[in-house]
Formats: sequence, structure tokens, C-alpha cells
Amino acid sequence: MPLMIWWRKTWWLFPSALAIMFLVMRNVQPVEGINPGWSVNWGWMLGVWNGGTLLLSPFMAACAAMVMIRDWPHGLREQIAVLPRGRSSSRHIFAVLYLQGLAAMLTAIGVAAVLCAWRGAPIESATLPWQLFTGPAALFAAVALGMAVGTLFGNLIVIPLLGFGVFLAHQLFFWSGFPELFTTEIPTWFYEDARPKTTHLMATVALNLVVGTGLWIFLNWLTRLPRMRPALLLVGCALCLSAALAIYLPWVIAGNMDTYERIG
Amino acid sequence: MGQPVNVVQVSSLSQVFKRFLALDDVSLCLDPGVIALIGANGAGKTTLMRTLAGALKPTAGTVRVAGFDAYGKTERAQALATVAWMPQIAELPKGMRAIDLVAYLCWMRGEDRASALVRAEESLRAVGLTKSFKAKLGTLSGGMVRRVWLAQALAADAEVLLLDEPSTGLDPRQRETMVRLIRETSAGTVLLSSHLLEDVRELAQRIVVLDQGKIVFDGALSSSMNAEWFMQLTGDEAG
Repeated sequence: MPLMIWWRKTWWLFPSALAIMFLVMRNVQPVEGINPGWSVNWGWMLGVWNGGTLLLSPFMAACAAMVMIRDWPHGLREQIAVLPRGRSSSRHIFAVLYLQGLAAMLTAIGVAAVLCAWRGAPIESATLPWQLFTGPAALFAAVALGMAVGTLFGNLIVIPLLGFGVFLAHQLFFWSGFPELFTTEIPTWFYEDARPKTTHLMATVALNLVVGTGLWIFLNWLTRLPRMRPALLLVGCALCLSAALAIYLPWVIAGNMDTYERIG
Repeated sequence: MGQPVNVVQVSSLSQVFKRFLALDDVSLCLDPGVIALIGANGAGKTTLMRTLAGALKPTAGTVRVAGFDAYGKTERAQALATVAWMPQIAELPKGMRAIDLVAYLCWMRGEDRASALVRAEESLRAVGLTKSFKAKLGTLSGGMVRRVWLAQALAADAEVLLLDEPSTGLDPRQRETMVRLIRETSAGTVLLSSHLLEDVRELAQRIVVLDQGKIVFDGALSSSMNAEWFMQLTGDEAG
């Protein structure tokens, strides 16, 4: 019942997310005159799928904030916080949002996989399994961010600001060659003899997971009643964000911008 | 016959917000029956209600419900299981259906899905919203929304019912309906707050008057109590 209630309110997310994924896939640049350029290589194709988060994550973060502000108002949260299962509404909202985003991603990767198999694309260009995890991990961080921001600020203006902010964050990480947060890489050129570096992908997944977990813990702290919020949760949140910094810093120090490695 | 047990016991309760003393050393015992909590705006009624509902940890003092400490780590769940609360002002998820909200809140109280839905239907029916089960909350009138809030409190079937200004924002006809509904549906210990004596006159047997965070009167409600009496007691005017 609880998931159905939230699904009824947010059912439009899945078709919107799916449209976003296909919009991204349709708009990648042609490769060697072949348009669309994504139908020839597994590594490239998975990169495009993950790269859908460039638009999907800002959209999902903004939608998560909107649900928390508009559909689950602050005054009501105090009323439910005293109930035995009161805080579970955060889990329900998260599950419904995340699963719809993930379903859109899986549909897109399904199309990508069928095309690759049909064309007999070379599998060695893919960095498996890590290329499969970066998108879902970024989506987790983005939805957790949207929910935390929506819970913290009750003003509708944060919705577009958040969407725009997450979109711009891509520039910071991707163009600097750092492990990416919230939005993951979309290839803008086709590397026939190269594939994404495993360490870079692993760091990207870990970065998103620890940031998402930190935000989720912060959300849990926020949804408790004032004067009854355990400080331990804030410590947990700080530890997660410290871990994110620990993952991120080696790339900054090394100045290693190359995110691809040669095959073989 | 044994000594009657106080369902709610409030001892030396204080609530301080920054430097503002909202409740000052309040002690109160509530027994079964309808008790009116009267006070002017800002007297501390809602703060007391929120504290009794378990939503606002006291700065000092204790709240015991059915013998359990409402803010004690181990007894809180047992204490709050016996309390239902209709808040004064609560924003609503406007796009949610009435039946969904009431059933969801029932489920959050620990009911399984099927019985939460049955209870939600029963309580919405009891407050006269049979035709509005599937109506979105944003489309309901102010009076109907107050009835949805009453329905969710009634659905809890709790020993203690806290009704915080249930007739706030209602026109005279809706107010009359609300008074009738409370009289017909509430049972057990009911604490009903209002800044209008007229609202509670038909319902309550006992009256507690709160003024600037302090209890200034606690006794049986009589016909001699009127706006003038209230003004003399608090220096303010009611109803």
C-alpha cells in the first residue's frame, strides 16, 4: 500500500526519465560518419547509458526535492514522526523515485545491449562490471541529495536551483578528470582502442555511494523530532563525507586527468 | 472500587523556546471524559498538545500516558500507542486522496495494510466523508479537511484523543457539525483545546484554563462560566 500511494503520485517520473535517457542517446555525436554513433561498441554504449545521468540525475534530484516540499509538507512530518512507522515514509519515497529512475536506465541499457549484440560489437572495450554500477550509484546520490535538500528547505525555489546545480556539478568533476559525483561520464568521442579506467570507475561508484549514504543519514537526522535528534547520526554523516574527500583527494593531488586506458 | 487511574499525568512541565517560556511548571492529570483546554491565542495550548502527543520533548518535567513515560527511551512506544492527535494546523499533501492519507497514517501506527484500509474507511464514514474517499485533499473545503484530520485521529482508536482547536477556521455551520461529530465519535479521554468557550460548552465536563503558560483554573464546567468570567481570569477575552 505505501509504495502504491507514492507511485500513484509520481507515476509520470518513469516515462519522463525514459524520455530523458533516449534523448541523451539520440543526441550523442556521430562517429566516423555513422549516425547515431553509439551502435558499434560496448564500452561506448555503456558510457552513453551512464551518461544519461547528466540529465537524469538533476531531474531526479529536483523531483525528489519537489516531492518532499509539495507532497510531504513539513507540518505533516511532525505529525507522523511520533508514529511507530512514521519515518518509513522517507524510505517509501526514496524507493519509488529511485526505482523509476533505475527502470528507465535499465530500459535504455536493454536497448543498447540488444543493438550491441545485434551488431556483434567488441566486448573488450567495456570495463565490466564497473561501468554497470556508476549510473545507479550516481542516481542514488542524486535522489538522496534531492530528498535531503527538499526536507531542509521548504521553499519551491530550491527545486530549479538544485536541478541546475547538479547539472553544473558535472563540469567540475568530468572536465577535471576526477571521479564523478551525481552525474557520470558520457563519451563525447569514440575511443576504438581504449576503455574507461577501472580505478576511475571504482572511485566514481564509491564516491557516489558514500555521499549518498551520508546524505541519507542526514535526511534520517532531519526527519526526527527536534530535541530528539541523535548526534551520532551527524557523526555518521560527517564520516561519510570525509570518506568522499578521501576518495576524491588522491585524484586532485595526482592531477591525473586521463580517464581512459589502452586495451591490451 | 479502586482509586481511578489517571490516564495522562503531567508533572512540572516546562517548555522553553530560546528565551520564551511557553509552558511554566504545568502539572495536570487527565481522567476519562472530555476535558476542555481553554486559553487565549499564545497561551500555550498547542505547545501543551504537542508535548502530550510526543512531538515536543519537554525542557523540564515529565509526561506519563497510561503509566508510561512519553519521552523515556524504553516506554515511549507504549505511551504513544495510546495517544491520537489532531493537530491545529497541519499542511496536507494536496495531491493525495483522503482515503490514502488516513490509511497510510493507520499503517504507520502499526496496522497491517488491509486493516488500515478498513479503519480508514470506517473513520471517514464516521465523520461524514463517505463520498469523498477518493477525493484529492486539495479539492476539499476547509471543514472537510478538518474532518479528515479528525478521521485519522479516530482511526487510531486510542485511549487518549488530543483535539487541538478542531473548529479553527470553520464557519458556524461547519463548527456545529464538528461539535456533533466529536460528541458522537469520541470516547475515552479527550482533551479538546479551543480559545472559544462556546465551542466546548456542549462537550466538556471539565475545563482547564491556560494563561501565559500557566494553569489558572482547573475544575468542573458550569453554566456560569462565560466570556466575562474568562476575561477576569486571564485578563483576556474569549468567545
